[in-house]
Amino acid sequence: MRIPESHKDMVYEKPRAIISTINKSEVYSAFCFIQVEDEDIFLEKIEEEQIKHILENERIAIMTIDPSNMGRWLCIQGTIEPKETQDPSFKVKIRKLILFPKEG
Amino acid sequence: MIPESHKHLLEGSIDVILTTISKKGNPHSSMIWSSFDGENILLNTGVGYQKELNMRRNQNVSVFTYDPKTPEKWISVSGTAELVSEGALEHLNMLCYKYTGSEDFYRDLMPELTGEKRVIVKISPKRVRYGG
Repeated sequence: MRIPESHKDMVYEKPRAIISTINKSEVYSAFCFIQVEDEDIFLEKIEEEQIKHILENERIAIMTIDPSNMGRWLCIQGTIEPKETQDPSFKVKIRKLILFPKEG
Repeated sequence: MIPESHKHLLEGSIDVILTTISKKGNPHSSMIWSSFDGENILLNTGVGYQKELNMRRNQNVSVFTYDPKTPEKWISVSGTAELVSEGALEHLNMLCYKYTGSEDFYRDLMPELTGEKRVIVKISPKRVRYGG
């Protein structure tokens, strides 16, 4: 699944994002950073506590917000898996996108 | 439980990110208006919206917000949500005025949604993390 043109800058300009993870019954949201390599999206600088959550439950939501307009945002729902390098980086597999404002 | 230094993030007119859990167990995030009563975070949503359906099934949620001018200042609240019908329209219009300056949400902003049912989402903090 690809990021639509209308919201591509919010992923491809390496923004700060908010990742939400689930630990048993608790939901936890915190900052991370997005990196794009070719067409693949990676998350970096995820908190240690959230990495523990991800290793138990790979389901995440990522929110990116236009810093100049909080009414423009993109939510990525999906799963992530560790990148096979020494960097603490995770590759995003997109399951669903929610855009605001909606396209069209 | 919410530190004095970060209360303004919940009391002002900065949108917050609400994350709920879907029927299939996926986290679902959206931007939403908020207020704060000194103890609980108060949000407002329509009955039948995805986040409302999620919270009816699973009360565990998180609220995250930050100051867009100084993103180092942020707060993340993990807690439980209670849905309250009483006073929901008045609360919605209070939020509408706080965020937009308009007094009536349906008359001034969303006439096409007139007639929908609303609920206050009362979030009791269980764990609070913050930075900045």
